Amino acid sequence: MQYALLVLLVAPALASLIAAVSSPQQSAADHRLGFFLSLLVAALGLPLLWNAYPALSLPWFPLIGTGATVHLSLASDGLSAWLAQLVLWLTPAAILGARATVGERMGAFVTAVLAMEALMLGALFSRDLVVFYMCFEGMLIPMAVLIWLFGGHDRLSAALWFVLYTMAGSIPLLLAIWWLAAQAGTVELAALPAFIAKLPADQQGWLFLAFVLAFAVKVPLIPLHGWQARTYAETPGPAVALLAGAMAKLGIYGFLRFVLPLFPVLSAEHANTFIVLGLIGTVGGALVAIAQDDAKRMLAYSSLSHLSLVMVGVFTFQTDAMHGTAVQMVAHGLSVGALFLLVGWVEAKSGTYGVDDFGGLSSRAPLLAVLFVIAALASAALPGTANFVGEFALLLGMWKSDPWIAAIAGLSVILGVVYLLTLIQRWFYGRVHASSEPVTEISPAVALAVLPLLFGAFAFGLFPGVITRTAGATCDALARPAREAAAARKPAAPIPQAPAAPAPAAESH
Amino acid sequence: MDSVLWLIPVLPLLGAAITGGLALAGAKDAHGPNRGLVATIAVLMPALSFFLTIAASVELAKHPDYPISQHLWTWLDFGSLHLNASLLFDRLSSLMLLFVTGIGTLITLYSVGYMGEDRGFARFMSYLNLFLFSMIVLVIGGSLPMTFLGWEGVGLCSYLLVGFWHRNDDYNDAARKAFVVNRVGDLGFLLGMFALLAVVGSLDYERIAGFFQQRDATALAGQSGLIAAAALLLFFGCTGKSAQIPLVTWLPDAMAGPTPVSALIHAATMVTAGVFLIARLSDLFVDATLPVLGLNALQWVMVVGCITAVWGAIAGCFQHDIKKALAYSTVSQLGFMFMACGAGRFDVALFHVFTHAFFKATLFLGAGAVIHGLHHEQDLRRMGGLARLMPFTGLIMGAGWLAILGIAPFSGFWSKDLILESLFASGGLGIAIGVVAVVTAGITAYYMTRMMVLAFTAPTQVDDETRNHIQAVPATMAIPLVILAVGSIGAGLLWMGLPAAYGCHTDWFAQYLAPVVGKAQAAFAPIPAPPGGHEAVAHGHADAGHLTLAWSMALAGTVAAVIGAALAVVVWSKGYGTAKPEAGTSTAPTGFGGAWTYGFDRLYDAVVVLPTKILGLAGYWLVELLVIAGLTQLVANAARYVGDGYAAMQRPRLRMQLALSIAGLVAILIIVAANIPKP
Repeated sequence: MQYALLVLLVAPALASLIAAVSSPQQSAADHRLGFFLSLLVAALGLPLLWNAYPALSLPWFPLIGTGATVHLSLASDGLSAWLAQLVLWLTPAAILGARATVGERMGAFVTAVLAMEALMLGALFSRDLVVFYMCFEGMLIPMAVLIWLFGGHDRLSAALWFVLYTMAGSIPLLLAIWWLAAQAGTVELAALPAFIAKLPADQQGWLFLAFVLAFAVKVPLIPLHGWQARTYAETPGPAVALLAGAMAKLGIYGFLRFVLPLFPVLSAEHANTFIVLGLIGTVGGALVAIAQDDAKRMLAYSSLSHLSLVMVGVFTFQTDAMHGTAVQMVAHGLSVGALFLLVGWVEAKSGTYGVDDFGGLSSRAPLLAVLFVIAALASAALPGTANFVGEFALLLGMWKSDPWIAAIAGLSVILGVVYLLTLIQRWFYGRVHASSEPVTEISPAVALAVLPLLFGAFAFGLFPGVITRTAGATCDALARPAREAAAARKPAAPIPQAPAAPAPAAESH
Repeated sequence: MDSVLWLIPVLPLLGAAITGGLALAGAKDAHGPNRGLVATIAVLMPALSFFLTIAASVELAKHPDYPISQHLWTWLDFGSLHLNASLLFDRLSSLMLLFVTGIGTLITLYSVGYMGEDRGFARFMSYLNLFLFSMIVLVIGGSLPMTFLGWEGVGLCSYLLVGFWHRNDDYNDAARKAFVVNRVGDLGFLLGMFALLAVVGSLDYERIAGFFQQRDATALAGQSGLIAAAALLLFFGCTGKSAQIPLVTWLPDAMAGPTPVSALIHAATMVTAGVFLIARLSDLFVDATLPVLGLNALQWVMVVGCITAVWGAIAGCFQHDIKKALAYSTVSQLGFMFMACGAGRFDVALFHVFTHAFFKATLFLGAGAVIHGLHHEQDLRRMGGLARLMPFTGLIMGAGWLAILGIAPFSGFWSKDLILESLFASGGLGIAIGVVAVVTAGITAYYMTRMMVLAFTAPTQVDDETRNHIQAVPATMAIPLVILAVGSIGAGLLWMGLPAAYGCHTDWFAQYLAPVVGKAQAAFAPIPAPPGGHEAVAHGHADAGHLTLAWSMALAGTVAAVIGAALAVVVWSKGYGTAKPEAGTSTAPTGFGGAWTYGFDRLYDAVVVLPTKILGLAGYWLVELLVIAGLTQLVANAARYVGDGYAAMQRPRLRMQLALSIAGLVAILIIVAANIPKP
């Protein structure tokens, strides 16, 4: 039991290895094997929800030249546990729904997806910066392989673009971690806030920038989103389900886990910058989504809009918004995962995913239409879904910070239905196009992959307490130092107006 | 009773799930699922809800001051929110539910006849049940977020039903427009909830009412800005759902939906949700006294209602499509309801909601019978002389017509008269609005009579082919029509209290709602003492003026109606004459290009829709592709040389490379595990 978290990390890696070496080179068998293994891993991760797996910390190797020792330091809390569930359950869903897309090369697909799962879990549980960085960067490799093997006609260039762009964002983080190791003599997360707080302002600033850059690219935060639309468009649907549903959440996770606790004062100081960038992303992303003529780019910009909204909420530091962040991350993962699995089916059958390429699909494939409409409505935050709870709490937090932030961010509530309903209308309603011919009703496997995701979206919408009590509370606790720093900044103005009371803070200098 | 309250919404939800499942299961079948089975389930579930509502209302009658409520589970519990998923069954929900489930059941039954031949019958029935579920949740929810759940739910169902015949892209456009415009209002609703939460600290209805009813003047004064913001934002939400200016444009286009949908959703129930919400939050609205642009919240409600009523009535005079004429009439009548709210008479507004539900449903379903009979003809220019061809339908619609005109003793007379009366009684701005309202009542009589004359008595324009094949009205359609027509005639008597013979008070309806809106009304206008009117009768003096007002309003309303109707008969009794529609001219709803909303559509196109599109395109082509992608391409070009090595990887080697790297990872982990210091 003591090594349960380690077992949970090794399990998908081992499964990936099994899939790689024992692959019978036959699609159906690989598919069954991959699904079975990923389901086993997911079941293994279920006890995370009642925090059954204890933390562990094992010395691993010394970082040469720094005096710091890297620890295999693993722990789980509400936030890690819920994001891990997203990873754990989206993986079998992606494998289950990938049959039509992947075809004969299922062995390679399963291998890469399971490897990615192992690395994402590693990033979520690691409390050691070096191990975190290894996993965070390592994820790129299986993802790039997936794009390269199964992507569209521009796949090679897209894979490169994706890897280089995100790597460029995180190389400063590597240097920052190295510098920290040398200066602090440790890379354990728990020991760092106190050390960083004592650093001179300019050094703190450089460190802050390095951390922010790495995670802002991953979210993505405007203007660092250049990789996103192109990557989503070229990546096969089931892989985007994982990329958008789970991997993109690691950017926000990075802000919550590292940026806010390590740099509370700087976060509070620059909160407005992030809020403005987030608002531009929220509204601009939705506007650009309306202008898209292919479904995957549209959903990419929709994701940009939704995750920018989360970023705005995060940087208000409001308790309501932090709970909203937790719910919205899970909710967005479920709805966008379902949407991309369904788009993946359409693409696999017809080879295209343009907004105007189909018509009247609802009479050819009623179940596909029903599931797509439900997933789109969840994505548009219809009350009753977890997406609504998330958006509601986020907007409420923004309102408390400043009503105008909520009003501007709220525009995405309107714009969100514009592009989603346009897509639904073009694809599923209207006259049947000749090009709709190859699109058939979804296979039972795809339906089985999508249904639990949609069920989750509604279940967590009606009973969001299971997320807010654990993950919400964790997010709130992680934001507390930043919230206090922000509160301390606010009364800074009135103090000079009261000369009678000398500010005690001034004397401590 | 309080433990089975949840069944009232859940039964139609169950109906929706079952019929929806049947529709999906039978999708591949040439005939679709078994119609008898679908019809039985779809009608039975709302009917059961109706009976449960009656049972709950009987229970409620025993303890009028203690609403039945049920806490289901803890829904939102974090930060500043501690909200149960709860149901609240008080006099207001009881009244709304009685006619929502009652008329809902009747219209579902009517649909069995009207939509029976349609290939998507099961899907239609599923949507109708889903709509009823949402509408019931809207009404019975114990807090604003619960109401919002139903609020957006009915918007969704409206979208699904307007676009029900989804082969037609005009209909799809109309459906999308309805959803988007409603969402604009919903943003107001959301922000209004936040403002209210900041004031009250809770979104639970009983807490909100309790907070405002204490009327702690200093506490209220300190937050007057937030209170006004909350009221106006929530009212903005109401203009969306209830199709008031400025969010009016979607309702006429929504007539693309099948006629039973127009009757149920776009006349009797959903569009009255805005009036319901204002009544539900009457305590808030009465206390939102801070003037914004010169008017306080209730004055805004009154002015917006008045402008919409006039605009809708004038637009109604120029319609060629029988359903669109009725749609503009609905817009106009909703304006009357908001005027009553603005005058502080929430009970009167709800009374008009109640009578309107009957007579407008009658008119719409009657129009449906006409359209059904004429094989999907809804152009007034191709009707005329129908009184002889379909006398039953003519009689039914006649009852609805007299009711909407406000001729005594038909139901509309009582409610419209009370609205005029309350406007004049509120004084000041109310009197000016009241004068406009009387004129509008005249215009209403004109356009409704015009529609009836053109359809039923003018020289017939129906071609021989159609005339010889008039479709009969089946029993499933006739029974609801008769019941609703009886309602249109008699529903008004409820105010009189099915009269005093039963020992009830003469304003039974107001008495019924007094536990909910009485305190707000008393705070708004302490002098006319509307809720306690029966006690004032004994005091005589103030009541003499009240009676004079009542009689003069009855007279003014009736005279206006008679003049309007007479004018219409004079102008239109010869029909269109030679001005026949050109071949191929359709009156079918045309998405964004509908007549008369055209002005609004043009405006919104220019001010909202076009800039949105331009911003989107500019954002994509200029910012995304030129700036963002261009800059990244520069970096990428530099990195391309590195990438050449990466590109040399070839497929056969990939599996091996992957395996090796994973093996390496696992090996490292194993070494680490082996080196773990033994405790």
